[in-house]
Amino acid sequence: MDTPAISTRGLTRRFSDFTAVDDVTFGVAPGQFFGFLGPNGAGKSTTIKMLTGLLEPTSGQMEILGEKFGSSALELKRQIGVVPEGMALLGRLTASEYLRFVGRMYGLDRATTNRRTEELLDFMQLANEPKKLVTDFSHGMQKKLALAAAVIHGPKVLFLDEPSEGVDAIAAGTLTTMLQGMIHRGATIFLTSHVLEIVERLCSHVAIIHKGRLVANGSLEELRAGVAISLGESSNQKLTLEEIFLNVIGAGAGEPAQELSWLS
Amino acid sequence: MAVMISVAARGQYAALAEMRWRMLLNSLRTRRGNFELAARILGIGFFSLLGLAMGIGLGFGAFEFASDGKLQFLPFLIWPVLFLWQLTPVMVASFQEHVDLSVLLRFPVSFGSYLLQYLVYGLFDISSILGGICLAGIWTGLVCAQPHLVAWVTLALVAFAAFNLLLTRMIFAWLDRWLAQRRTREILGMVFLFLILGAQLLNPVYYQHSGHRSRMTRSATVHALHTADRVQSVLPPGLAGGAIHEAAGGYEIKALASLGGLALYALAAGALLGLRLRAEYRGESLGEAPQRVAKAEVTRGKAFDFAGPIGAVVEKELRYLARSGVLLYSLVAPLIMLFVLGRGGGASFAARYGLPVGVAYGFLGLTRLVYNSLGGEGPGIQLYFLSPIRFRTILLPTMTGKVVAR
Repeated sequence: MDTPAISTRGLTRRFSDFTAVDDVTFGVAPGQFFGFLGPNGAGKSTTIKMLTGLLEPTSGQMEILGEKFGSSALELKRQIGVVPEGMALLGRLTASEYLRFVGRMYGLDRATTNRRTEELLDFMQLANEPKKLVTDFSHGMQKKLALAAAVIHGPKVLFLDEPSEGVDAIAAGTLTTMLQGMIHRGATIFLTSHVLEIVERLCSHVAIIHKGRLVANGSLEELRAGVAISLGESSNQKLTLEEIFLNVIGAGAGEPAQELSWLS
Repeated sequence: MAVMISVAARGQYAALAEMRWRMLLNSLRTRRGNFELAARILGIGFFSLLGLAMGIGLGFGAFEFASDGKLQFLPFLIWPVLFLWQLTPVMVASFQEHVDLSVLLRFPVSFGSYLLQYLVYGLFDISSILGGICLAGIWTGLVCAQPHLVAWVTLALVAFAAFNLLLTRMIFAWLDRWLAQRRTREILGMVFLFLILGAQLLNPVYYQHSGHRSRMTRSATVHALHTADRVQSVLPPGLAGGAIHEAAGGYEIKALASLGGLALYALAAGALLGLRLRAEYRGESLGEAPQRVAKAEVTRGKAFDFAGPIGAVVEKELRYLARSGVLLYSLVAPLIMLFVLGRGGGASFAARYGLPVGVAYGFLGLTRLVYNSLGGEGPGIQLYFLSPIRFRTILLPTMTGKVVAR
């Protein structure tokens, strides 16, 4: 059996008396497109920060490509790419300057960095504004640039925190094409998103976190079948990911939300 | 150590230097960037001239001490350098660019490289430049007067400079850690504010007790000075000066011991800095967002409840006041000063002018309102513009609230 690309055991993170991530255990196989879902404040970004070495877990274990952060931290950081929550862009650089900086920080030689920078800017349709500073980019352009920076060194595992947030349909299509290409070439992608249609279209496996605890984990078919059984419906009725999500976190059950009758 | 100078690390240093250079060039594309650069050049020029003047003064002082064989007084020159080095960052914090190196943590940067970059940025601080110029002045004065001491002077002053650099960076690293969380930020803010208030009270207290001062016997003064000298001699400026003085007297072992003591202080500061940066490097999070989520569910009792837009703005002003240590301080401090300065009953200068000065001080807070009462609202001011009410309805309670608070 292959070593999982990502595995966690009892991963926990507390902030004072608040537990953001509570005893989370899961595994992601190499080459898998893995969706990590949850409502706002559920612990998705905290989990990604821990998995990318940006936040130390309070307890529990995690391995990326079979290695633990610690003695292998530098080597691991070379193998992973991340689009962090705030994108971590440097606003006073142009897009090409930023990508060249990132490439060199990952240890790429100048020629490779320059070649990949050109290719990424072309692919992301950012090449036509060479003088524009990152701070003057629209939100969608910044997202595309952050994604380009996350992949410039050819990572084996890619972590994406809300990559499609604020991105228009054209840009979303570009991102999807690129991510699918990466999966075909054997990369592993760990994605959080509130846009469930995108997750449903791209991801083969999904985990759902709610109030810091993992409440579902499996392939889409497994989750679909599980929810269908709990609803007492026939398995041939295909539930959408949105329906699965709402049922798993309990928002779909019980009384519907009260309408705001004063809204005209 | 090897990872700090490896090929990969050197490539990263070059990338960082180039990135900073590109950012500087790009900032010059805008008028604002040009103004910022001009202001920075003026600021650095001003401080460099100041440092040069101090360096020349300290150099002459050191030359005199060394020429007259009075090197035991060297700490008198070195202590001001320590205060200058440690206090300048506080004074220039508003216009000095703060570089957040934590953005580098997602890259494969080793801890050694991270620490080195943190220290290198410290080298370009105004405080380091000023302190460096002052120490260079002292070095020049001493070496001109007694060239045979060049090795000892260099060793002692370099060790002292290293201690100062590590101490400043250590203090800032820990301050950053404390300032990152609202609760510790408020505690630290209140400590600073009470220190400032305490400093303002020193003058009246000094005058009140000036009568006792003259009664202090000469022997008691000498005893106090001896005690102060003994204490300062085991502190870094005393150790640096002591090492040079002892080396000049031919007591090499004692000089080495003093240098060792200085090195221990530098190591201690370095260890505390390393402890802090190691925690940052390993992914310590000081963000408060999760706690805020947890606490958001706690419903507080309705302390303030006003109806209408005027009431809403007043309620908002009161909530801001209740949650701001600085505002509470500016509310309380003038009253305390009034009480202190208005107590004098005699015919002294302080008694006659204390109350008017206190009242003037109390009104000082109102001057800010003359300029921009809504300046502190930040992006929230847009809500006022969007509200379907006249602007005077907003201004009235905003101004009234602030005036009443004063």
